[in-house]
Amino acid sequence: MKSSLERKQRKIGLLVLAMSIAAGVAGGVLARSGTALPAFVILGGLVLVFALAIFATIPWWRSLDPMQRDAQYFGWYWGGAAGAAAALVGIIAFSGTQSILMKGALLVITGQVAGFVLFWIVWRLRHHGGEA
Amino acid sequence: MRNRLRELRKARGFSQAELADAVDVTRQTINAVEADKYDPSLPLAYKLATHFGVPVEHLFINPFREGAGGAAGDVSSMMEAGS
Repeated sequence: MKSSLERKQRKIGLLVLAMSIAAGVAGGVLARSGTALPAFVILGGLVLVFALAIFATIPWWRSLDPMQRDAQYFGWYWGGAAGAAAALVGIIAFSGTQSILMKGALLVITGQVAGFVLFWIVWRLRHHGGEA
Repeated sequence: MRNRLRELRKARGFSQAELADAVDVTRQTINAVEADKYDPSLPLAYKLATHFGVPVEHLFINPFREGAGGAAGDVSSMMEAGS
């Protein structure tokens, strides 16, 4: 038997999934528009679509109970790091260090590290207890 | 963290899903806490203790206190404390 929270999470999860798919389709259409639109319109549109997709997950994240959040932290920290390392090893082994794939991977990792540092600083500032 | 959540819940006649609803978590979280597979957050521990009307240390056995394990008493004494 499911608790009320689980039923609520299922509804929110389906909504977030639908919004994410819609964002992906919209992003794909924008990205494939080629020269039909100015580059800044495509860039701005993509940033907006991805920002909306991330904001759409906020209600889902807030609905998680402490154990579910811990599972997300554990999965993303260890699983995300291990998965990225395995992908990097594969890219280096099969396409070398100078390939376009490697450049793309480094760009993604750079973005992740920058995001990590930013959110880490925000978290530490929000949890600073002031003068001892 | 060892606890008496399962005993107390059964003594009060709650299912895991009913208790989960009462403290606004999932049934899996209640199950994991009962099985000593997950240490609850401090707010969740207080929420559970408040729900049963017992002090937190009656529900969760403090592993850092000497003689931990039997000092908090049995379920019937907790039921009396909560009533």
